[in-house]
Parts: sequence; C-alpha cells; structure tokens
Amino acid sequence: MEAVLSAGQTQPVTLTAEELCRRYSASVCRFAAIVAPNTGEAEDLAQDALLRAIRAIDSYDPRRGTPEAWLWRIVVNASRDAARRRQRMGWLIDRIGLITPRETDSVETLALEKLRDADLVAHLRRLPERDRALLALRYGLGLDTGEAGQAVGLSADSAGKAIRRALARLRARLEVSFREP
Amino acid sequence: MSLDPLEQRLTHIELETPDPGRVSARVLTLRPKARRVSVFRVPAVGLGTIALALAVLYFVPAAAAALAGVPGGGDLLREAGLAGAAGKVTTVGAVAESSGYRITLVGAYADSERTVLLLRTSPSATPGFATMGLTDQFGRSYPMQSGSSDGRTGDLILQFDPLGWPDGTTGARVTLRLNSVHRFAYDSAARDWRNGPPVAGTWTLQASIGIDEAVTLATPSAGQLGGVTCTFGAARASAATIVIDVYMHGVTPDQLEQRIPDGGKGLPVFQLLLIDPSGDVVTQSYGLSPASQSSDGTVIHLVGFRSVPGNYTVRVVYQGVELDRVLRVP
Repeated sequence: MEAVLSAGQTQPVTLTAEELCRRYSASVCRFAAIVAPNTGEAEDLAQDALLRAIRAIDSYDPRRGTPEAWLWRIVVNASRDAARRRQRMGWLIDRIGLITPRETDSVETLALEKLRDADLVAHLRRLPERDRALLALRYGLGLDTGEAGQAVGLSADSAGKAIRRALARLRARLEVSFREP
Repeated sequence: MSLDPLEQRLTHIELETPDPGRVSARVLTLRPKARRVSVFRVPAVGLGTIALALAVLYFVPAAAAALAGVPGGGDLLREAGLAGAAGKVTTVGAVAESSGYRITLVGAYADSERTVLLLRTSPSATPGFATMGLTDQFGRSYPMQSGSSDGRTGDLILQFDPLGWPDGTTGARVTLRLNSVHRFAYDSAARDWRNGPPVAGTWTLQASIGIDEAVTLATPSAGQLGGVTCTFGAARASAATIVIDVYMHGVTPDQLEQRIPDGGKGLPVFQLLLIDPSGDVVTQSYGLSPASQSSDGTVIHLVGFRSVPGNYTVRVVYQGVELDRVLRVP
C-alpha cells in the first residue's frame, strides 16, 4: 500500500506505510500526547491515526494539497472520533473561566513560571476537543494558522481566531488555578 | 510574529509522548498488505534490503542456537503460549546474581505480537514490576503485558509488547533490568504462595532475539449475527501466535462493550474466542477500535496462542448469536 507524492518535489516520491511511519510517527505521537487525556490513550490515538492514514494512503491526491495537510486531517478526525467515543463528562467549558478577563502579563508570566510542564499539559487536556486539536497543531507541531485550519476545516483567518479563543480559554483556566491553588 | 509567554511555553513544552517506534511497529503489523510495487521505490528498497540483511546477520541467532526444547521447559512453554514454538525459542542462558538471588534468562521468543522472556529464579522469586524494564538496542522501552510464575520451580514468564520497528523485522538486542525481587514462598497458614518483602539488587540480563515470521492465512468468509454483518481481515500465524482482524459493521465499540443485565455483573453482549483443534479456548487478548471515521463499525484485533497445526475456530458471539469460522493453520 503506497502513494506517489509529488507536492513540492521535482521527482515523484513514493510514500509507503513504512515511510509514513518513519516521517510522521513522532509528530503524530506529539499531537496525540497533547490531545489525549493520558499517555495510554495518546498511544491508542497515535496508533489509530497512523493506521487510518495507511489504510487511506491510496486516496491521497497530490493535486489537492500536501501530504502533511492530508495526514493532519486524518489525524484530527481520529482525535475527534476518540473524543466522541469517550464522551467525557466534566470536560465542559468552565464558563466562569471563559469570561474571566485577562489581567496583566505579569500575572500570567508569574503563573507560567511556577507552572510545571505536566500541569500545563493537564490544563491543556481539559480544554474542549477542538481547542486541543488546534493548539496541538499550531504549537505542538508548529503548523501555521493556515495549515492548522486546513486540518480542521477552517480558513486561515477563522483558524487564527479560533486559536486565539482557545488560548484565551487556556489562559482563563490557568488564572483560576493560579488564584486558587 | 512574536509569541506571548503562554505560546512560547506551549511551543517548547516537554511532553510524555507515546514511543513512535512502538506505535509504528504496531501499525505496520495491523496494516493491510501492500497491493503494488512502485518503480520509484526500487533504489530505496535495494538499500533497505542490504541494510536489513546486514542487520539480520548481526542479530538473528544461528539456527544451532535455536532450541528444540528449553531445559525443563515443557510446562513453562505451554504456560507462555509457546508450546508450538519450542524450535523458535532462542536459548539465552544469561545469568545475573545479586543480593543472594540468581536469575537466569533461559530463553526468549518474539513475533509481531509479543516478546516473551523465560526466566528461572533461585531461590524462587518474583520481580518488583515497578522497577523492572526491558529496552532494546535503541534505548526504547517495552511495557510488560503479563507475567506468571511457578513458586515451586522458580520459573518465571514475562510477556512484553512486540519489538518496535525495525527490530520487528531484524531482531533485536534486548536488556532486562530488575532492581528488586520478592521472595516467593509457600504460606502454610494461608495455604497459598505469597510474595515476601522486596529485596533490592541489580540484575541485568541481555539477549539477542530473532523474530518469528508469520504466514498469511486464508481469510474466512463473512457472516451475519442477527442484523449485524461480520467480516474478517488479515489473518496470520507465527509458530506461537495467531492474529486476525474481525469487523463488526454498524456497531460501535461502546455498543460491543455493553453488558446484558443478569442481576449480577451482567453478561458481555459481545465475545470473541479462538478455539484450538482440541477444543481449548486459546484467546490471549482482543482489543476494539472504530473501523472508520465515516461510519459506525468496529474492528477487533484478536490474538491467540498457536500450539499445533490444524483447524482453529474463530467464534464471534453477539447478543446470544454465534458465528463460527475456521482458520486452517499450517
């Protein structure tokens, strides 16, 4: 099972299942680590996403975009399905947090300095599923807003706004936790 | 565009990610088989073949070193689900002693589904699982799936996740590290074997493991379970393990995990069994996952033990209806 890729390349390059894993498994695992609620489920999600990509590898059409854009759409869909399956209660948006105004950068900077990476990931994982996916694509994988938007079916402009809203929700959560340790 | 402090933290956040090598190995095991070969791949395939051939020469134990039978190991092999693979179990014989405990890595076996280590402890002991680790030559660690021991003999079987890519193709040099053991002794008052307090020590055991190649089996025909269509995917058998993907169309994993109320814990609405030629159930495990993103459906990856050649039955039970299909295993 393989696909011939030509996007951005002078010669066709064949992407096999092995090549897909070699090139992208680390990024998919990083995305999954941010989006999934724990490491065990992150592994399941990464496996499911890569398996879906391999099964769909023949459907990739270079005329419709880069292999990365094609892959990230599959990965995001896998994470959506995983989130739907779990139907986690208690992960609803904290409305108080949503409308909590950002005070000053100094408060945020102070909070961030005190925050361990593991705690930041824990807050990140409590965001709504789409927020997690967007932040994982933008900051976990380093995609620009256009590429992140493409993966979730948004224009670059809409994705930029959605990412800012996701950051605001994360910031609000951090502020609440910082004030109420 | 400058990033604010939160964005900077998110960009550089340290994550505990799944092991890409292990995930890749599983995915490549589960994938559908290749359907065509591209001319663009030829140079890469050539190089890859040379590299893998060199790796195989280095890692795979010589045929003479493969065991016809692990010493004292009939029961041990059966317990480990390796009864059909005695000739494929690699003799290791590595020994480590610490704190008065001698641990011997008697043999090892690996295929695309599992990595099994056969150990003997003297005096009889069980490892401190929290401080135990198996790594390969690339430093990747492999979680333990299961373990069992015989307190009378000191035999110990540890089963780990399958080796990651490319170990799964070439074989691997693995290292088992134990940092504590528990004396395993018979408690006559309780009439049972019990673990004693932990004994700290350092036991490091190494082995080179070849990979037992699997053969592809004929795919069973589809069937109906009430209103649900059941189809089968790739089936493979190594000397010790049989695997097959089973697809339940139109039902989600959540629906398959429901239980039928019976006044107690309830009965599972769905069961998947692998039955060997003598009628024994040899299912080791199965996992459910969504079959596709566009429609309801579940794929179940079934792993079972192969002990002898012959006809194995895959039995799918859903809502009280049974569907049997035969796998002819060479």
